Amino acid sequence: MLIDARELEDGAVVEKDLCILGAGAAGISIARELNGHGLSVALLEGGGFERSGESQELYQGTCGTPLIDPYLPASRLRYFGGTTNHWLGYCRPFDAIDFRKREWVPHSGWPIELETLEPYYRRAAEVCRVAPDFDGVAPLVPESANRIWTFPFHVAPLRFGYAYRGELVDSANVEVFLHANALRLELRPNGGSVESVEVATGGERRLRVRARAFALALGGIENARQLLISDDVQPTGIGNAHDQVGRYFMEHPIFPVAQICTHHGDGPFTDETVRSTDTWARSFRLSDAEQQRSSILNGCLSFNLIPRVEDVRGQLLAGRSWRVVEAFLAEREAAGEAVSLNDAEEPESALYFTRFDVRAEHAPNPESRITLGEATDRFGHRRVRLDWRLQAIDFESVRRAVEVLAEDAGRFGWGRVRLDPAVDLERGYTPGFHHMGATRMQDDPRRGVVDRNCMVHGVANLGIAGSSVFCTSGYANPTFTIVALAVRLADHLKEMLA
Amino acid sequence: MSEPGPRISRRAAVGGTVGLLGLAAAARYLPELLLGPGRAERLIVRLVELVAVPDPVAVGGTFFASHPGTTADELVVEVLAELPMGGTLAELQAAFRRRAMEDFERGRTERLDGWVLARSEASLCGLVALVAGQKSR
Repeated sequence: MLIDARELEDGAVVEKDLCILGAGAAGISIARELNGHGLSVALLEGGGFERSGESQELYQGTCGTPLIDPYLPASRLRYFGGTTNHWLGYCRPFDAIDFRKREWVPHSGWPIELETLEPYYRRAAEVCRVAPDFDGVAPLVPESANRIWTFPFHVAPLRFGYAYRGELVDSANVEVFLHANALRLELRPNGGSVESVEVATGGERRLRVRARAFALALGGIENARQLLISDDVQPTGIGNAHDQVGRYFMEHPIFPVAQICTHHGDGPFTDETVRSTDTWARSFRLSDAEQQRSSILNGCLSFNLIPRVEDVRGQLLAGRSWRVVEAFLAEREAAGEAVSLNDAEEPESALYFTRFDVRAEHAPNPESRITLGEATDRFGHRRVRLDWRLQAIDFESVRRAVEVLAEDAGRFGWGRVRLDPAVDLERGYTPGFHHMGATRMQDDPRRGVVDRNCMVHGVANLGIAGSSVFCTSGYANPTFTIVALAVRLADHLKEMLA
Repeated sequence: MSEPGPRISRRAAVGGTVGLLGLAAAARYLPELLLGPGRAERLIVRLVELVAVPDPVAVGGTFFASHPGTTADELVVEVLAELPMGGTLAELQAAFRRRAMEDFERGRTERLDGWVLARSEASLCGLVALVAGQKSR
């Protein structure tokens, strides 16, 4: 059923088994899992079915260097379907190494392993409408098995809002509320569970949704903000007794700093092998062993189309002094070691030359964080302040990844690699528009916000869905893992509410 | 990928001018060196085009920042001394490729203008820059 919350009376109260806050990839995935089950569900979306400036304005906030405005409103979309409305559609599970505790990466390690998520990744593939075949990780060449691996991304930019609108609107047990802006979660007096959520429906009117359980699915930034502004019972915000909410914010910094030049036909970096299609994209990364050996982070190397190089040697050899070469040859010739230049008219090979990007894992950093700024939105709630911080290991990992590629390109005759010396790595990157880590999953409530089931520590009926629960960022686009974790949370909530 | 436009051969671009200059060079040195015109240039051009960098002259110009005072004689020896001189150019090129790969295998690399090159390739680019008169100061 579809409800325009603006048409509800002020002070209306809705009672459900489950209230899902946010109708992006996570919220819609949970709602779909509960569609047709015996539980009553409210799915709250702050925007409508289309983008509007009024809704988008609520994403304004402040962010420090190196991010610049309008990063916050530009990197996410506040209407039904959420940020999948501009998603590139790259689907790939995180690597096993992303989940592991790595001694050389501070604060790494999830409380779950890849194996735990694998069945949910298969279900996520159905949701995202991609084939569930995510094998295909292989050494780039057998000789480089311990150094460079290659793997595919599925590319399927599914617009969740369009794809699943009809299914949810037609649902007998899921009610979709549009223009229902979640203002704050309201805890019971003992702080041990959420009783309701206060919702602004337009103007001064308010709606209250009471439920047995709540799933926070507002996005990688807003999830943290919602916990922080819900400070009626717990002054530092919900789930924030140990000052963990908002910390460990991670992005996927993209470093367009390297180039590769190859001869046509040499090695694996040809336009045929690195080319992306509408449904498939190939990338490269360092092997787990090389990451450990070099004490660096994960990351992927992505190539664009490689143009032919036609006139790159337009700079001619204006030779002035070949005398030394001639003298050397004459000396050898006198010794009977002449070089014949006449029998080597083999066609020269074309050079291919391109830039490539490194999309890097961002090391978890407690000082990289989301807090509340002083400015307030039209509902009187404090806006976000984002302080994204990278560390030395982030830059060193990129540098080393390029070096390894350069070394193997030389060893195996694939071409030559250049790390642009004019680019300052610490300034020469851009954000990937991925927001992760600000309500991270840890078994120890002193080190994270949600437990391994994505339930907020100390709050019995509040789960969090979205990339804010990620403990590490890997390099893979987060949406596919967001969906897998959301499906898993849905299972947990079904069991809890049964 | 789009179809390539009209091509300007790299070899022609390099070698054409080199050929003309080679005649002048040969006229100057031929009596004492007993070489055919342009042989040195042709040989070096054929070798340097194996180095997968777009502008070996400019790249080679940066060689001397990390190797100040290196002379052309030293570079010629570095580039050519270990190559087989008794065979064909194709054999010479193959040997140069092998040596570059061995340099990488043994960690003998140089970074010129950001390009990670085998030491032998870096020396060759340096030589090319030197004889082209574009050595960086």
